[in-house]
Amino acid sequence: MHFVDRHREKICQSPMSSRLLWACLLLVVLLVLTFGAALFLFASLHNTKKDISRSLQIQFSVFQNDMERYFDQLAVMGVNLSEDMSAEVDKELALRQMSFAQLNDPPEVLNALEEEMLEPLCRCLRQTGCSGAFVLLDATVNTRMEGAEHSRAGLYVQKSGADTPTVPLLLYRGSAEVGKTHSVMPHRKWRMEFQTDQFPDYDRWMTPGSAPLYQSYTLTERFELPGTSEEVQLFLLPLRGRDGTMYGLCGFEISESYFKQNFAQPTGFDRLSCLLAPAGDGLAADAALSSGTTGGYYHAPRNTLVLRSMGGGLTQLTGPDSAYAGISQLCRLSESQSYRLAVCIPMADYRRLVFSGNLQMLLIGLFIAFFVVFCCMNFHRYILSPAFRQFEEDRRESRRRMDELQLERQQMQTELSRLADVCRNESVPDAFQTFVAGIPTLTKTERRIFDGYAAGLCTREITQQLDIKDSTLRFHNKNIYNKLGVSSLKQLQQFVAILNSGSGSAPDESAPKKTR
Amino acid sequence: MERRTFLKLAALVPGLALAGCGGSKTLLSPKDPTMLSIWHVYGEQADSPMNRLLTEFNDTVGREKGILLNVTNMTNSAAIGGQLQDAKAGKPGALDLPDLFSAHSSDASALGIENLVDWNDWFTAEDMATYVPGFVQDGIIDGRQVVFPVSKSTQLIFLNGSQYARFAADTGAQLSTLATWDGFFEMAGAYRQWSQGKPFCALDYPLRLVELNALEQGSGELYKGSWYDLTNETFRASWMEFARALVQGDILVSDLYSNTQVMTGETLAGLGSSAAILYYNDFVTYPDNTTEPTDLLLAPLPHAAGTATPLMPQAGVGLCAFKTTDQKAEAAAVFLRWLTEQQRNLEFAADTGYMPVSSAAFDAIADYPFEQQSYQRLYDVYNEMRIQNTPLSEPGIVGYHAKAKTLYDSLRQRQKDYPQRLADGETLEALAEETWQLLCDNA
Repeated sequence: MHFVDRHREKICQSPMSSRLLWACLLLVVLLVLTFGAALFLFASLHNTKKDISRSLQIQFSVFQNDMERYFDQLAVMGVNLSEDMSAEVDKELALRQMSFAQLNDPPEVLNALEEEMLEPLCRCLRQTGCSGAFVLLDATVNTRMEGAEHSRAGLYVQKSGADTPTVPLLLYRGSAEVGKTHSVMPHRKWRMEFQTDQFPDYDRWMTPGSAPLYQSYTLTERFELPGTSEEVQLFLLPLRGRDGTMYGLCGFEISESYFKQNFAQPTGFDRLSCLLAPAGDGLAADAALSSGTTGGYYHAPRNTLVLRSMGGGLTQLTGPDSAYAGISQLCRLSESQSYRLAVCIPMADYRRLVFSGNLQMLLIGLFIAFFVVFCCMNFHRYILSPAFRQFEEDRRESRRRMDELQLERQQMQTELSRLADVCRNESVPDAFQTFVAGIPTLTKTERRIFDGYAAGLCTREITQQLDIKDSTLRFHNKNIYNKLGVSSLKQLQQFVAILNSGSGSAPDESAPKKTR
Repeated sequence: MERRTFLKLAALVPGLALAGCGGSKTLLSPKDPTMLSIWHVYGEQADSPMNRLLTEFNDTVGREKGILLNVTNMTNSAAIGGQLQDAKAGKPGALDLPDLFSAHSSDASALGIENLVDWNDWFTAEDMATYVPGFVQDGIIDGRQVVFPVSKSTQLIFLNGSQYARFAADTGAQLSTLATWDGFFEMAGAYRQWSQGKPFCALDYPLRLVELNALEQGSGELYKGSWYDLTNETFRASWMEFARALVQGDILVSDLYSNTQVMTGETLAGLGSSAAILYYNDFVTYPDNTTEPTDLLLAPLPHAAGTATPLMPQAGVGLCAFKTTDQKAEAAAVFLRWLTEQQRNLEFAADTGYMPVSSAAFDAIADYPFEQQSYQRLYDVYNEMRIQNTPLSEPGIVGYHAKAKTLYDSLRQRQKDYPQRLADGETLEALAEETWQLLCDNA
């Protein structure tokens, strides 16, 4: 037989108290485990909103860290680029013994300068995390041309696709001949020179300043690159000569597609948007660079989003046709500018997460309650009810037995009385008459011993209670037997029983007492 | 509650739930959007009408049905095949494979058609009948519709109108001369002399032009394996015609895109995809930074003189999808259906310079109100070519494009030196023969 079956049989055969003990122990263990599991689950699910907030805080920290490191990298590379390009201009001017103002018009000088600048610019572009790099010189190849006041020479090189190590470079602005010489083919929307009227805040950036380069970088507003549908922001630094002359500008292009590709965030959320926007009370999503998730989600929020606290560290970002929940903070990423960083998930996702978290808690609570009720019902059904039935049966059986015993006792007493009467009145043996007659002749000590025997004590108990030796007891026994005419203790006790059942003298109160 | 009743109810609830699910056939859900990454070739380095359409789709049908498209790479039709192969091989630095991508049939074959969605699983025969049959046929490989037609292009000559006007005024040149290859080469020579050594035209796909010229002269089968049948004399003769012009400096293989060489004033004309119209600037900029309006002129592709079967190349990628989940395939099918609806397909074609693929859109384009005159000219030329020429699809040979690229690179390295070498005494035939050897070296 299987061990469990044997064990069960053993339990069934064991007394009821034992069976109840095991069942109670099992119930207690189950309830304790259920309670523990409930505590654990409720502790981990107790606040879905708080969990979402914590996850978004972590996402925000990672994104903020990415942005700070990115700006640091751009600043370092930008300072190097500015110094290198300024040195190239200084070298060319020194070689030709020209002032910077004399750079206008002679195409061979500007071409030579671009020739010198192109390779280091391309190298810098490949080493920097960005989609393009440029050097703009405050000079033009043809001052006589209509619109020359807005035309500025320089080089603008772009990566022709995704940021891979072998991506070909394209010349967006600059001398096509110079570009081709270095296998940098003209961009589909190539122009020879920059159009400063299409360059955001050109005059402002060209204002000479005295701040060191590492404090002079800035990020332009987002704008559409002329001729393309690509939205970009430019990371700008001034290009200054040794004497402080403002030569122009240089820096890097961060396109919308580059930012999206390279700052996609790993996340546990299905949909997440990360934004780098200009500082402001609201979040100008139209002017922001944005990224999605490494899982492939990307959807750029649009318009200006109004910010409102949702409590718990979360912010509601609401636009005309969309709403998000997330974290949004102003961060200082450069010396002169603050930016608004934000990570957010669609409000529908947030509500769904909260709802599913609450539903999960409710279901778990219901399950636990159901489980407890189930355990109690089964305990009642399989353990308590049978036990109570057994108790009831046992009680009824006991009562029946008591009644029977009572009846038997009464019958026995009747029989004894009858026997005593017979002994006393009709055929009382001489021995019993002798016995009864001998009782008053007993000495005080003998009487006490006699009463002890009459009370059912054994010899050892009598010697202890009267504090006498065995030999003394035997001596008194002999005298008692002789006086009462009995031959043994058994006969003595029989006569005492007969005496007690009739009206014989009761044992002396001073006799030894039966102790239990 | 009676136990039996409870059990009946317990069985009924999931049953009802399943019955509810069974009523909807779609795998898409707006609550859990299906995300599709896409690589395409429409508007690289320029304004991208495709990106605008993707945004519109995401904001409308995509939002309603639960589909979100995300452009992860904008490239060109020549490069996309290699980039897909790199991504598939997991090369360091390569991008992740997209769900949807533009590709030629040869690119699709190279990726393994068993890995791609068969659009016939998602479009009925009636659906496919609404597209131009020849374009649909281009995307069928081994009986499977793995390339879905979105737009098609042909090849045209684009000319800098301002410069051409001066040239024509001085030499009496007529655009009608470009109707034949003989006339084309004649005008190319005349322009080089007039411009004091500037090449007349940059060619984006010279091999395709050599093929068409040969086929129009009755060359028969041109291919052998993944390259050309080098014993085909008509093909060789056609090559030598182009080679002589190249060696003399009348034409050149474009550096990257012929439109940039027209825009910089390096050549008068560019011969390439009709979709290049999207990339032409309004101004030509000369080395002194002076500019003049491009005033784009267009001419149909020349033909072999006296040919009875004038051909027009039919090129252009379609959209393919990697086989992943049915949910993604359904999402891609929804997008394609939306993208190629008549009016949208017509507008997309009109914006990009491609031919529409919807039969109804194709017929309607003749009456389309174009905003730019150059686009109107483009579609006038299209219609002229449609009437007079027989469309010819590109060869879907695996490995062909890589070999062609190698040949073009070799020619680019040498073409600047050929006129000087010719001037230095080497013969035209010897130099042309040298170019033929370059082609043979690729076999």
